[in-house]
Amino acid sequence: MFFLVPALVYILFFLNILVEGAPVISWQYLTAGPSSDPATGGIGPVIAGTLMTVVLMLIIVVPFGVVTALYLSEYSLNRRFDKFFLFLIHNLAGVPSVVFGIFGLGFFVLNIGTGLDELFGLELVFGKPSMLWASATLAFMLMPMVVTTAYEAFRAVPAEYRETAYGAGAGKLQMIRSVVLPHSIPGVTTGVILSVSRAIGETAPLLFLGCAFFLPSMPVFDLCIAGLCFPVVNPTEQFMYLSYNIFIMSTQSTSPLPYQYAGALVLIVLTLVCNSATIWLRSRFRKNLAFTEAE
Amino acid sequence: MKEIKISFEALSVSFGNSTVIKDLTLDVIDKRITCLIGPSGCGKTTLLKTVNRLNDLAPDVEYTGNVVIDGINILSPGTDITNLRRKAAIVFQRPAMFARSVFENVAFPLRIAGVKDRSIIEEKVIESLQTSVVWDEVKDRLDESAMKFSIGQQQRIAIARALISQPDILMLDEPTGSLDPVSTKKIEDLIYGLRRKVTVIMVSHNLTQVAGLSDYTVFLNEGKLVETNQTIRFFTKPDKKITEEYLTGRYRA
Repeated sequence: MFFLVPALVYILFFLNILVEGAPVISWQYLTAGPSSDPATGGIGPVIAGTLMTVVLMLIIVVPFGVVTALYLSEYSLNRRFDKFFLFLIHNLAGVPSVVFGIFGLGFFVLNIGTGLDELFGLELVFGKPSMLWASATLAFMLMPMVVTTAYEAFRAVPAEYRETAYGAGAGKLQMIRSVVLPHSIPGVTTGVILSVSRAIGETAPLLFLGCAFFLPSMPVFDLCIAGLCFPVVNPTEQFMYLSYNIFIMSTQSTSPLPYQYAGALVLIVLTLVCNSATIWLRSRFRKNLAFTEAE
Repeated sequence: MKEIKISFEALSVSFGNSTVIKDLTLDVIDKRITCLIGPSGCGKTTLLKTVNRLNDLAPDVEYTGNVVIDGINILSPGTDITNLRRKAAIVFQRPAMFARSVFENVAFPLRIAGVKDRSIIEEKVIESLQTSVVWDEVKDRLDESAMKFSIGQQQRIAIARALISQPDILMLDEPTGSLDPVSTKKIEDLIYGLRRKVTVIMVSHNLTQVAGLSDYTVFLNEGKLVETNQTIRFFTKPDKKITEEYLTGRYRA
């Protein structure tokens, strides 16, 4: 019966948060901005900031990660080099996330950001901690997961599939586009969604990168293209992040306990949604993409 | 009249330090069915993949000798490999259906070749599926994923895909190796229907199949040609003792 212990602990843990936090959850709580009176305030901008940061992170990590994995799998013909490179990447995955935060501050903010400001003659636009550099740091922190899962997915495409495409006269790019990529979608998506749920839960690397406990509103400006205006969150400003919010609430603020639980509940549900999406996608793709096995 | 389609002239193929095909000289007759037999690892598949240069995917492959198809040495540096692969199509033991519809699987070589005209593509897909005797089973389900069909149907769809660019040479690497007897029979009938139309080179471990289907049989062992002859003669009066041993199951590697 010992194997039930972890599951039981998890269920109790979840139920505890659910029971304590659920009474606070309301439409107003999920959408309104923060206020000094918790009863009228909410975590709308916190959720928005979290999702924006994750989307920005994906915009960086997916192309970089997939292209790196494609290079290793399809272009580098030296499997020993691949192994060595992946070994380095695996080691990167073992670095504590707070170290990535410091790296992000030093590399992105002070080096690249300040450099960009100087280059364009700007007054402290890029050269300060902001959502942009937080996303970039998360992206590099989660790159190992995306690269490894994508690489495994590419290598899992059987040789006959590649050879059939080449045999039909396809070039390398045509082969990759028509065979390798479509057949590895399940693996690649799994890695990407897992990286999202990891990113949602991270706090440490954001400490130095513009994460704030309280901002009166999201830094929104109107982006106008050909007369049409859209509200856009300014990624070069400070932002709020759910996990960081919970961390500060539970350590340094006087927020009533139910609000702390409610924040945690929202975070857990977001992560659960991501993980369930992974499982659902994987089983769906597995059905449609199973390689033909010999009978 | 029997014309020679492919001439292997003192061909050796090696990957790094291991030589897989050793000094092989062989003529393959045009529009006949030629079967390659021999123990696993004797170089049959490598020989097939030499004809359309699929071996080139391995970075350390080295060829010596000539392979002459229609008077041109396809191992010479200036060979148009894309064109060669359209002329010499290959089908493997596993059908390798792509994650797309039956129609798009069969049309794949045309799409790769840049054919845009929808009516030409449709016409050729139908013709190909009919030739490979799977049309009646798929005609109402052309838009469904090819992966939903049975492995025997998939293999015939794979042959349709190989035939769509109207190759002169069709290479089959153990096409029935993972099929049940009923599906095997269908593939055999389909291959039989191609004789006198296409030059077929087939690898098979099923000697009954080889005897019943092929015009010529080639026996390879350890990368070398042991014996080749008309199939009737090959099975009834083999020249070499080792061939007789292999045919009667007494051969030990």
